Amino acid sequence: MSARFRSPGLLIGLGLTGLFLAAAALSLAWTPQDVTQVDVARRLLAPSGAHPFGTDHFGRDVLSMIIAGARNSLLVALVAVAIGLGLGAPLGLWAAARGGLADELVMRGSDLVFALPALLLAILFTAVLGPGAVNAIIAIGVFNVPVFARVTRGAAQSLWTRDFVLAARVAGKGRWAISLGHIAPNIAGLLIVQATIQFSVGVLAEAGLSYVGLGAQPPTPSWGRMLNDAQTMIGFAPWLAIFPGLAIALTVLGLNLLGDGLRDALDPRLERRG
Amino acid sequence: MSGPLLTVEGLSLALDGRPLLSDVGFEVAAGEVLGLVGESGSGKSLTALSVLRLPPPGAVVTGKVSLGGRDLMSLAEADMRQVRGGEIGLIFQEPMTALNPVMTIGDQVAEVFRLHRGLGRREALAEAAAALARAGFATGQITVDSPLLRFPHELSGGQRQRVVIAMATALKPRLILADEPTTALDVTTQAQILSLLKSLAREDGAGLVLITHDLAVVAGMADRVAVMRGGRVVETGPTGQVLAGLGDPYAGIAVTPRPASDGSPVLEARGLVRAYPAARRGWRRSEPVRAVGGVDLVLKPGERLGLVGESGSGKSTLLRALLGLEAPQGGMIRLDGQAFGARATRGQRAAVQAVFQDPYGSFDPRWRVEDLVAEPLPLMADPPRGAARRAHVIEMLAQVGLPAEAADRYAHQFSGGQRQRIAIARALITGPRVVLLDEAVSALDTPVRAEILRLLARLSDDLGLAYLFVTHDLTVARAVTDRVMVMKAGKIVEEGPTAEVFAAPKHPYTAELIAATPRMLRP
Repeated sequence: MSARFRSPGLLIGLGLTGLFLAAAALSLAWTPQDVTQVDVARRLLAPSGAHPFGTDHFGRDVLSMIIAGARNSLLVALVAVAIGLGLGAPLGLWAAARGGLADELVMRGSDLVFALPALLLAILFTAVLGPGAVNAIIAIGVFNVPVFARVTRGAAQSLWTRDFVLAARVAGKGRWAISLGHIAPNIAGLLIVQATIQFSVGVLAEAGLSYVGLGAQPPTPSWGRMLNDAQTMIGFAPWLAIFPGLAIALTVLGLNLLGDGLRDALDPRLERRG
Repeated sequence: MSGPLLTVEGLSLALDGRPLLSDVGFEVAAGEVLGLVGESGSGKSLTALSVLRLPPPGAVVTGKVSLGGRDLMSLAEADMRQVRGGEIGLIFQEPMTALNPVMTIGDQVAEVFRLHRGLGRREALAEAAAALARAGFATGQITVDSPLLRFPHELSGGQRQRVVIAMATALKPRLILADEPTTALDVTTQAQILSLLKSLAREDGAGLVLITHDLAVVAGMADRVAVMRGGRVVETGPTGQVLAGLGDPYAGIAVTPRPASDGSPVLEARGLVRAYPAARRGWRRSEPVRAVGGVDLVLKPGERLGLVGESGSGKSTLLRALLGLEAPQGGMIRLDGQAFGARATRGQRAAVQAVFQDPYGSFDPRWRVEDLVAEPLPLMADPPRGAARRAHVIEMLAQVGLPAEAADRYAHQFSGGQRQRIAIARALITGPRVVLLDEAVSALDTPVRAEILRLLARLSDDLGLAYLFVTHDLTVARAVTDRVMVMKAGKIVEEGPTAEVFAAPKHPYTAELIAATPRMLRP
């Protein structure tokens, strides 16, 4: 059992994700310097001992901003995943349990959402509702719903044909009792994997939205906006773009590796049989 | 040629430190048929895969395997590839998964010649046509509707298995390994496929290892039998001797014919119709498929009724309707004279319970046995809770011959036979009066099957249960039922007391079924 959890991809993914979560947790209590503290005299310093990642055009410490930015990314992506899972999974279970019209409704609805370019619509959402972390969460979360609905419905549908579900029906259990008692626990692994992958998509989407100025508003530090700010100064202060860019890339990479590794470890189809 | 063709000695296999095969040994001579028999999980298939050097990833294999004096274990992988398919032909249980769905069968058989003999496309196809013809396909000219140009999904199960056999025997291998080659097939098709296999092996003078859980299949086919249990070969010998040693596995089950109870039926169906919407073609749907077309069925209290038919005859659909899971489109079902169906009351459902075929699939892998067995309890008017619930479960487990500790384990920790005992305990916990058994013993090997049947017979006597045995296996129906119904294409074609139907079948289909059934002991 434990051997299956020892793939290098999974371990690297776990390490990077752990670093990201630790940074977000740390920022609640402490950052090397106050990220709201502006000190124009110390602006645009190259990376050094005092400022390992350098300072920006307001003299803020880039390392501190990246640590604090992790919290914003985490919050937005996590809540967006929770929205997707919380609405999508029950919809998928419902579609699989009822079949017929309910199934058509859920699947065609998700087709509709899939047909629209997610990030563009998220930009539209936040442009209409106004920029800010909460609206970014809603915009990203809405697009997670059909993803979870589909994954849940597909897996649940194949479980509904199994004999143990038939046995539960003979035992007089209703659709919801079976969905919650038998179906949901058996697809939990699959949903965890999907949640990890949607989490990485969420981090990327949040960075994208704040890059165009529709995510968390200043002074809340955000990786996407740091990239945007760095754009005009990239010629003489490249560290301003490199470090937030790396933070985004490594976090997304880590979460994807974690998701893939978990899928390999949890997928019953790959499970060795005795 | 002197000496055995295939020798397996001291073959052991361990996976993650767990020994799955220990000290397996047997021999097969050229032209000989060896039956390798055992229940699922006894290591039969692992043995075959180890002989081919295709064990599951991570497995550690030790021991000696030699084919015609050549040691296979020390062969280079490139040479081994020539042995697989070239010298050893392999036939799997499920032909659909053994064939490539997007290649025509002609190309698939031809591929064997192209890979192993380096033939060109045209020559290979000609050889493929010959190989398919040998497997009973009339190929003839390569025209549009030649079987060579068909895809696997266009063929029936039996035809697909013929394609697999054509591929396996294309290069005239010295050894054929057939892993449950007929388990997925109907009785009538099974008989044809088995005789084809035997004649091909004889024609080529090849050794044949027939792996199966069904002793009856082996009885008519094998010269010698090796019986496997728990990863070991527990018995080897000439077929007649081994089978005689086992005796008639169904002896003592045969129910004393009960006097026909003239009470009112406990479960009754009249003119039952169950149809499915046909597949959509564009916008239009074609006529619905009638899986069950007007079936009458009467089950008296304590009666043991057999429902026999091949797969696709509508048995399982009928069963679901009788369980009140699916509403029939026509006809009616009555339980003790009261209407029964999709809107059945809890009390009614408690009276009709079921045991399903697959002992591996009928339990939620994440539930403990205690919860599994107790699952139908809420159907009872006053279900026991807490400690009383546990005591009740343990009592049920004891009734089916399982220890109290079983309650705390998971289904996958039990053997196939034990799982079916758990399934029976689950079916009995509400104190039902009717138990529907859907191929409940089909997946078990013969001795275990006999044990379960004996248990069912005893429970029926003790508790006055009425059974409906749904099965494709006539030997089972014959051994344990009082009355039997034969179903074909959604209709009951014959019905009568079991002994009478078997002694003098009236419908030609029943006669055909009886003739095709492999028999344990030849008269």
